[in-house]
Amino acid sequence: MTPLETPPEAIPSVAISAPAPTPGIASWNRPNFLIHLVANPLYGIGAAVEHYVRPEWSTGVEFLQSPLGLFFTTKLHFWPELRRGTMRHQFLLGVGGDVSSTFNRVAGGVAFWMAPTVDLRYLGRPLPSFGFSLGLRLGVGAAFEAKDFTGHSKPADPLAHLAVAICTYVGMAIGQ
Amino acid sequence: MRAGKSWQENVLGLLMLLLVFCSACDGTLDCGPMPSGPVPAASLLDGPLGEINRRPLALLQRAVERERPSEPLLALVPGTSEQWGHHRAPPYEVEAQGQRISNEFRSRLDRAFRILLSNSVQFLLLSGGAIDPSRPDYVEVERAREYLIATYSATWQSQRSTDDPLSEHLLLDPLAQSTPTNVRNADKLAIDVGLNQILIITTMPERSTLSVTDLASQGYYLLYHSISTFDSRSESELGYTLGSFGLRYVSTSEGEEPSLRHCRFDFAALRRDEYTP
Repeated sequence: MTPLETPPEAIPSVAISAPAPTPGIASWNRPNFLIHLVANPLYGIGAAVEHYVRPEWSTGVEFLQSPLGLFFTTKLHFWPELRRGTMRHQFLLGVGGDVSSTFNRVAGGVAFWMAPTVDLRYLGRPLPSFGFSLGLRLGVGAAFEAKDFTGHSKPADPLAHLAVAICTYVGMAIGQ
Repeated sequence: MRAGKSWQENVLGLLMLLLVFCSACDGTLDCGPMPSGPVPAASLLDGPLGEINRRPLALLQRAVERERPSEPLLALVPGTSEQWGHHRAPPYEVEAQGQRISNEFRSRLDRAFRILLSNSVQFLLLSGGAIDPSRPDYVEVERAREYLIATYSATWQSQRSTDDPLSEHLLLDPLAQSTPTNVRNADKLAIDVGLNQILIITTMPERSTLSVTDLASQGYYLLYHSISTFDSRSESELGYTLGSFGLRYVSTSEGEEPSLRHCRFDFAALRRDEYTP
């Protein structure tokens, strides 16, 4: 105990460790996986799994059941550093693209569909390793079907190759 | 290293689960039991359609009793008159040049005849009434019947016996005014004669990736009935929805042609439905 009358210069200095800096939103890891139920208002419903391979890059696969066949989609998105929201409530914007394929008789065998897409996402994380997400993915691209190349059923209308990607989803986020 | 392996296994497991989930809903229709029991008071057989279609209906009923079919015997061909505006008859000058139905309707009828000729169905129900208020003389099914008889009677007769005319395979529904009533009347008629499914021959989407034109086709409207407004329109116009629709390819002289297989009728609701034109 230092006596009260001790001059200040005689008091030995004590190293007080500064509190560790609070991790910023940007440095908070993204979830490891997101599992979504997916609804496309033109096609049907399905499911998707997404994985953040790096804090700012995600990749995923999606299955969509349509009355004309099963669509399989792979997607890759870049998520710039978060600028809105808090750790518990994040609003994210992803920019990337989708490549879809389907195998069915209407397409003459196989169809491909490529579209640059923008993904708007809300991520609510009550726990660092568990949360909920919902969002909307939009894009416009091009579609090609096997019968486009067979000659006898080539569509005359160039709009026939227009592919519109509209996808809403809801699901959960796991890990970090 | 070990942890990495475990998440990769988890992802693989999830993908397998998704694949199983998605393949389980592959659109195959199980049409359920055949309708049975007495024909209800609201039957179209005892009403105006029975009067119009006496002979082909008797033949259809006989075919149902004989075959107890697990495949559709009857195909609905809904009318369409959109070429000159919504629900518009061909202008008089177009009729004077010999065109009495729209190109789209003619295309449906051509395909319907090929399907009839291939024996995939035995009867066609042509459906569509006087849909243009300014032209009461234009009744879609009358024009359709006239077109089929004029165009295909000779082809039919060359492949069938003389006592089996094409006209006896054509049923008419001149009462329907919209897609829900086209389908509802066909469903009522089907369950009255003891059928649990029908084929629908209409304009189908041409691309699985769905072009803008495909989104406006009646095939998309019916096939994607829960996404399109068909179910909600049926619910609001009729008070119930009209069952399921699946894509069905039929072999004809032109190759494999798309149509819709329609079943899972709501028997109780259809029998209760007091038909009003």
